[in-house]
Amino acid sequence: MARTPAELLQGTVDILILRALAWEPMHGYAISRWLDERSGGVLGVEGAALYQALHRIEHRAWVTASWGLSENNRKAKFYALTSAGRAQLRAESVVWKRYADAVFKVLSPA
Amino acid sequence: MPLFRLPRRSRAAIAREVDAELEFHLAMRVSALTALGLSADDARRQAVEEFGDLERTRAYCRAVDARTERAVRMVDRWAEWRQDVRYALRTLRRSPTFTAVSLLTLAVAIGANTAIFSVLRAVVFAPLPYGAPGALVQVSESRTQNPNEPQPISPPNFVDFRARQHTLSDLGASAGSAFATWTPEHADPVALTELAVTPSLFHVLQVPPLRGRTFATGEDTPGHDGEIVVSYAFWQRWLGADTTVIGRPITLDGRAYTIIGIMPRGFTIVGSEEMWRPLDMSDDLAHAERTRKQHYLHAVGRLKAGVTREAARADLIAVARRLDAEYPDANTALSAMVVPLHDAVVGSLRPALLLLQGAAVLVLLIACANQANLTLSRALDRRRELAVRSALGAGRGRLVRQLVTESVVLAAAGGALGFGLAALGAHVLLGLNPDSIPAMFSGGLDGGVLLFSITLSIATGVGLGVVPGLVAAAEGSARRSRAAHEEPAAGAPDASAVRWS
Repeated sequence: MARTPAELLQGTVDILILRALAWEPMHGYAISRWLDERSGGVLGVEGAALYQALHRIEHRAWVTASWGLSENNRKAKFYALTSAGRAQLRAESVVWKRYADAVFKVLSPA
Repeated sequence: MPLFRLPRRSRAAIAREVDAELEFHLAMRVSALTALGLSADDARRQAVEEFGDLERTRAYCRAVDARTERAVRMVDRWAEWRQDVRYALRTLRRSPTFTAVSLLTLAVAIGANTAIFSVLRAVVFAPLPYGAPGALVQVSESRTQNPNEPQPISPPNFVDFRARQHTLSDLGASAGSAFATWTPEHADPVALTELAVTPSLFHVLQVPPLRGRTFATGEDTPGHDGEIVVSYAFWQRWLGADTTVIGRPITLDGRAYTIIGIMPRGFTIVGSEEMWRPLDMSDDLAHAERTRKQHYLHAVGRLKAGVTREAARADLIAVARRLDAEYPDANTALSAMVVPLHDAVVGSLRPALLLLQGAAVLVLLIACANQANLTLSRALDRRRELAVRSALGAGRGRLVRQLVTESVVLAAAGGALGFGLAALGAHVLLGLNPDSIPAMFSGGLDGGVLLFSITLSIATGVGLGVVPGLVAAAEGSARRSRAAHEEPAAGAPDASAVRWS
């Protein structure tokens, strides 16, 4: 699993989680697998940051949590996106895309 | 708001859930690693290492969840309360007669209490409208055989008291109010209430004039007593609030005076006077052997800083003893009284106002009893509705709260109407002659009175709702269990069921 870059900001973890949950409701472990796979192993988020972010955005009502059964029949806590979370994801995605474009523009040879 | 959510959790339950969630994550990772060929121990070690700061995450998640839980509970409570209020409003709208009668009763009862409280507060609790009123005392003569029976002071005794005492910074006095006739230009003569005062009185009371000045020392001697100070109300009503009246002549009872000052709005000494003129005691003092027996001065003193009223009393009684010894004929058994000016002014009003407030509270209690009766009989009429709500899962507490909410809504609306009624009444009364009511007695409905009104309304509402609510809830659950026993599961539809609505 790729190491979490130190500069991966808290807000970035939030938006990555929201993006994962926009796919479907998942438990924490599935979110970390999903992010790992989608980013080709580049954006692995370590467990500590992942779960702190999950509980933080649950408090902000961007996701709701409920207990369900995992694929191997174990009790797991599943998170689902709320409409507020979906709105947050849309807004943050726009900001991120603009930021990434700007960084890309600066870095690319003139 | 989501339709379903996790049930309410205790602190311990939150801790268990966080532990279970994190353990699930580690277990999943361990099984993934063992599938890659690691031993169980190595897999566990690596999973924990990969996770990062496990203990800190555990503590963080527990703390955040506890906050979330509190927020969720608050939202729930608010939603339930709003639901109760909406339901209460709907119920009240459905029975307009009951609502109208209740509102009227409560409005009158709460309005009366509010109005009387506003006066009671202003008169009994508010400080007198003078500078540093706590140090003001009323000074009177009394007799040793009747030491608590105040008497006005005679002019020669007043002069002696004032000169010989050493516990008061000064002593001022007024004679009884009198009428003076004044003929305004182009108008009929009017009778005005005037008060003769010593120049020191204004300084003792520490109220500066709104405009001009008050009397200077010596402006109460023959030839130097042609000045008057007028009240704000007189200035507004008769002098057209003209600021140039200072220095203007005015003829009272055929004698020429000069207006030298205007007192601020609401300032009064005896409650009804419209102007003040200097009290000329020279004639009385010239015939002291006779006038020492003529008691007509009301004296007010100001305690020196650090002097207690008790010390002032002892001081003035000592002076009285000496005056008794010096003038045994006029001052037989002379003593002195020193009471706080506030007590002297409102002392006689206090029991009357408290009695009035007590009467108003009784009216409210009667209104409440009446209202409780109405609510109770209505609750019995509503047994079916309550039974249905209870059958649909409303707990006993929820039913009681529903009825309490209804009566609180009712009492709050009644209270608002009552407050409006009291405000309107006060407005109409004040509108009759706004400046003639002395500031010390103009109640006025301010924040404090509003708070009283709101508290009274809510207390009334809760009181009204709890008893009928409990009775109705007990009745409801009894009926539900009876219904469960009597009606067979597949019975024909109850004819009365059609009328549920």
